[in-house]
Amino acid sequence: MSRHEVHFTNLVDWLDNRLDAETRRRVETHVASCPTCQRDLAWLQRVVQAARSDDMVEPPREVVARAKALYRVKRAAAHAPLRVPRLAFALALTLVLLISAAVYLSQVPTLFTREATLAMVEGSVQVQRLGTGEWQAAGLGEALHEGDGIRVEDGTVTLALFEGSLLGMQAGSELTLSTMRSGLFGATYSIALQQTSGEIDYNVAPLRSSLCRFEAYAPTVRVAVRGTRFVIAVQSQEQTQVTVLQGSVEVASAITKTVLAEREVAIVPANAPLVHLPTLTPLPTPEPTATPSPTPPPMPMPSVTPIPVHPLPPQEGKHPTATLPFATAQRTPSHTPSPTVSLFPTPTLQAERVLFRGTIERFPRNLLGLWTISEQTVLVTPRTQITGTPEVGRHVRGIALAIAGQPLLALRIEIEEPRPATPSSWSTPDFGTHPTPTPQPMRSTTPGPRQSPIITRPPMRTPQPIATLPPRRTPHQTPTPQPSASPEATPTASAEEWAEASPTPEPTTPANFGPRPRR
Amino acid sequence: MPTEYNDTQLITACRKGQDWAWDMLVERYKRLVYSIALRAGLDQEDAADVFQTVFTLLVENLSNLHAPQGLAAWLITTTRRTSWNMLRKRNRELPQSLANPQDAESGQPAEKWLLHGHPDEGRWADQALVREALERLGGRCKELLWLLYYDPAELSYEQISRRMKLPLGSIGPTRARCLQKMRKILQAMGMDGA
Repeated sequence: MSRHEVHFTNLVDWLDNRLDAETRRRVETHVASCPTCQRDLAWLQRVVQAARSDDMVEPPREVVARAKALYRVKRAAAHAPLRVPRLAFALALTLVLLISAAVYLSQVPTLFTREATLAMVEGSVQVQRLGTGEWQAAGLGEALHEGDGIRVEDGTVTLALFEGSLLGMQAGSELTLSTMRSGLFGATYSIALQQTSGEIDYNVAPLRSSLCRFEAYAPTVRVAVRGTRFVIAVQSQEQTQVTVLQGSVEVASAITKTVLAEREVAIVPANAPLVHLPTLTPLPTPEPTATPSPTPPPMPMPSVTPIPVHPLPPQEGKHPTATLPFATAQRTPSHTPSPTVSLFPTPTLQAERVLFRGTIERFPRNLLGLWTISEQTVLVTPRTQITGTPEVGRHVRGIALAIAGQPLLALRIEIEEPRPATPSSWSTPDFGTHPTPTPQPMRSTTPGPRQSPIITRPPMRTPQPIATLPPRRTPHQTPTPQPSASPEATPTASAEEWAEASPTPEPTTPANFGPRPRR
Repeated sequence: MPTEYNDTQLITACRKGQDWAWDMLVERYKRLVYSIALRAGLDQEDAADVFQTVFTLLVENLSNLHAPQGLAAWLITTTRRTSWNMLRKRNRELPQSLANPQDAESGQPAEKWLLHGHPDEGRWADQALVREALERLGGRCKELLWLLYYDPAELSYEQISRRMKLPLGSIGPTRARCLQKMRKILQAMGMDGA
């Protein structure tokens, strides 16, 4: 029997025992000699036996559903650990990007607009807000922003810029804050000022990096500086005078570009080459009595205790009176006639250094501006060195300049850290060895008499004020810089007092409040 | 795209996160696992617990199965051991007289084959595959083969002819064609010897 004689059907029938005897014998004979048929029959037997003996039980549907869900739950859980590294990686990447962005943005000097503050006002000053076109009277502590204009009608005004520069504006001067911007964290900044008239003393803080820019524009000149002190006097729209008091500046006009060194004076015409004027020459230190200045009127302060007065020790690399921009601008007549040189035609400015103490009652959030310390108004500028964390109710002491009719101009403020259940750390020693009032306790919740600030005014060794501005010079006078470290120029608290007041210099907050080394 | 997959293909797909492959595996072996647990003498609740445990272990060992083609054997062994553990736990809670169930088919104590294996395990694996192949056949083939080989009533050809309204003489050839189709399905499912 050939393969074709036995079909798969015959094998199934054989297995089901549905063949007659003859056919059954024929199939068996063929299968015995046909490996393929044997394999087919074996498979058939296996499947049919499996089917016929199948007594397996169907599990409940919910049991099966739970088993199917196992995989999804497990897969989700198995992927979770993978997501954690991915999340961490994403966070790390984000952090790196943020840091990179911060570093980059800190290098962009024009990212944020900044402000300037009227740090001292003696006279009448007006401010023109950007976009308003109207000039409005301004007062002490008022903030100016990019695009704002400021003009001094009479008297003098000190404008403190955000990075620490101080601008002494004389009567008749007008200035526009063209650019007042900084990068992130203030590491870089860009300042451009447009002076349209009058005289302005630019006491520029050293630039913090090579990316910083400080430029002053006048009608005929652009002055770029890197931390110096100079005066721009706009004599007319066709002529500007630049006087360098410290450091050097780059002066550029329409046809000239040069560098003026310290004590150099130049006239910058509109359409003519720059004209160098005779260099300022220092003169012998004037005697204290040489400067006619009246005794300052008594300050309207609750208590004034005279203390011995000694010269303020000059700080390293810093002009001893740099905190008062007009103080060192003393000029005496020179043998060299120079009708074009004129500096600070302002009335005499008198200030004295005083010690004060009290309790903080109010202070601006950004720390700059007017503080109220035991009912006394104290002006804090970017130059003010603040030690400690200001909080309402904390006891403070400090050194300030007292100018008649002005709030105290704080030079230094030390804030006592709260020490519960222990006496004030300032109880002893106090400022200097002079008799001082009993230290005031910290403000408590117990009602009591209002605490008044204690202001200790050192008696003047002479009637000489701390800073004296000379009267307007005659046309034959030549301004001459006075040695800045002259102790007579700054009669104030003694070196011992200052040292005892701050035996160990502490970091200031914020960092840019501290004194900067001057070139 | 084929509709039948062998165990190796399904395991591979499961490792790649394919839900459908896991569902197909569960469907293929659900009766096998559950029935072994019942055969061990466990009640339906314990059998369901064993069922859940076995497939949990399978999920956790998907990536560790070195011979996916032996999945049926792995499931049988795992189910036996899991059932034995469950049985021991129950035995500690039950009277001694009820604590030693016997396999209904072989008559031997369940604990013995649970530990050392059952002689019919190969057939159990075949039953799982054949039953799935029958489901995939569908239609009149499924009905015919069910009546011929699965129906406990064991109907005669005449009864089947009447129920399915088939000529009596065509049952044999039709049965043979359906079995050939099932064979192809079983080949695709990886049944050895198919």
